[in-house]
Amino acid sequence: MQDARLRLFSTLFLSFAAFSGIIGAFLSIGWWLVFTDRFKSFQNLRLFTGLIFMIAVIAVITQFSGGEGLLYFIRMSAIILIAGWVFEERESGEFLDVCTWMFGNKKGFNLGLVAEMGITTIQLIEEDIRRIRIAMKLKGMKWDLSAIIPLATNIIYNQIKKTEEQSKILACRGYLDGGTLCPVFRSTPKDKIAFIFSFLIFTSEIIHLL
Amino acid sequence: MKVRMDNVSYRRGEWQLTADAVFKTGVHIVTGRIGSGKSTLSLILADIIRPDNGSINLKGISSKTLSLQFPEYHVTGYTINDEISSWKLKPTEVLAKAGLSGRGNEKTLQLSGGEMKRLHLTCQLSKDWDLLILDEPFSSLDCIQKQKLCRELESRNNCILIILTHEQNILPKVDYIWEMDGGHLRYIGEVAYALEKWDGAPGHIRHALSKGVLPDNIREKDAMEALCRMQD
Repeated sequence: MQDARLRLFSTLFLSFAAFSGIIGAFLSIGWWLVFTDRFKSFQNLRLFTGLIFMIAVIAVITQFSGGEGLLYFIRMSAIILIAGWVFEERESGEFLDVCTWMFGNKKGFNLGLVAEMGITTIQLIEEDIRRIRIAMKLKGMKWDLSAIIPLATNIIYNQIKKTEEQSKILACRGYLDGGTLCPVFRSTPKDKIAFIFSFLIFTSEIIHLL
Repeated sequence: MKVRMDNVSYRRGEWQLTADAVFKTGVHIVTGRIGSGKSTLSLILADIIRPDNGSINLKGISSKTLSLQFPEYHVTGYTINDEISSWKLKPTEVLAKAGLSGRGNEKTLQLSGGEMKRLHLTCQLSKDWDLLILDEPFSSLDCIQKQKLCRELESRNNCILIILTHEQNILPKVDYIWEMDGGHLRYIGEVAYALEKWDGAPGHIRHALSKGVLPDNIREKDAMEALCRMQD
């Protein structure tokens, strides 16, 4: 889906539908199967498998302790599939475009900038973890609790340092409040159809809830 | 001891690395422009990334390590003491060697680039390795530290030491010269026979060759001595 606005709204509609009930979750999975490249778009299948595994463990515990573990698993899986799709389809600068389009050059620009910086931080943390794994391999270290705490502290410390540098760069470039941006979006007919279907799923879930 | 790379290739988008090489015991220098593939080669040699094709055989090697270009990539300890301990070394000795005595409780990531590089190299070179791969070991170091590192590297016998660098001035005495050119690893030869064929030779070597003299090795000192011999 090329149009970032439609992708954002589709994500909101589908996530709400999937979280609200089992029918919404099934319909969201169906939407994902029809309108996305499915697993082809997933760059990090291991991360996805890890998340599904974590959810599965919680679901089993919930099921055996008298809760609705299976329903929880289906709903959360649908949300993860949609989240994975939207994360992989995302392109740099998109949040800034969408937020500026929605809320204007002041509040929208600020909000978009924060969102972009947040996403960049997630990517940097991913990179930090990859490098730490290499360092640990070179040192012959093993993943255990005593190693994880200092590593996590280092990652946070690194991010604080990078954020400080980023804020200095913004200040040097004269950033005070808001900015000027004229975002351009391109929508294909397929994008529009996918968006309409996500809206229909959302609407049906709302009607079902009422 | 031997490292053998048979028809190794690794592709990243349009760019490709190819290597067909044998690294014997001794000091090897691999030069090449930035982006020529030196760091990727070091990661393949250290088994951090797997090549798409070909094989790497290590003969008689029981311990190997890689020093990454940026020392912060090696950091796993929050304080300097933790970092040294993560190498299974005693902090007091390493701190003294690295010129950081009394600073063991400081945060590792708060060190300057040069200090961190010094700390990292001290930790890594405090151990004996059969295969030691150093990616840009001279970056972030001042002239004095570079010379100190050269002396340390020259004192390493009975191991395969592979130095990947684009440093042009302060270099250690080496045995073999290699060049990375557009992703292809090329063997130039043993140092005695390779200097004239070496495209990426440092300025002092090129200068000596232009005067018709052949230095014994790749250090500035070797070029100077060769030039002095000519004047005699």
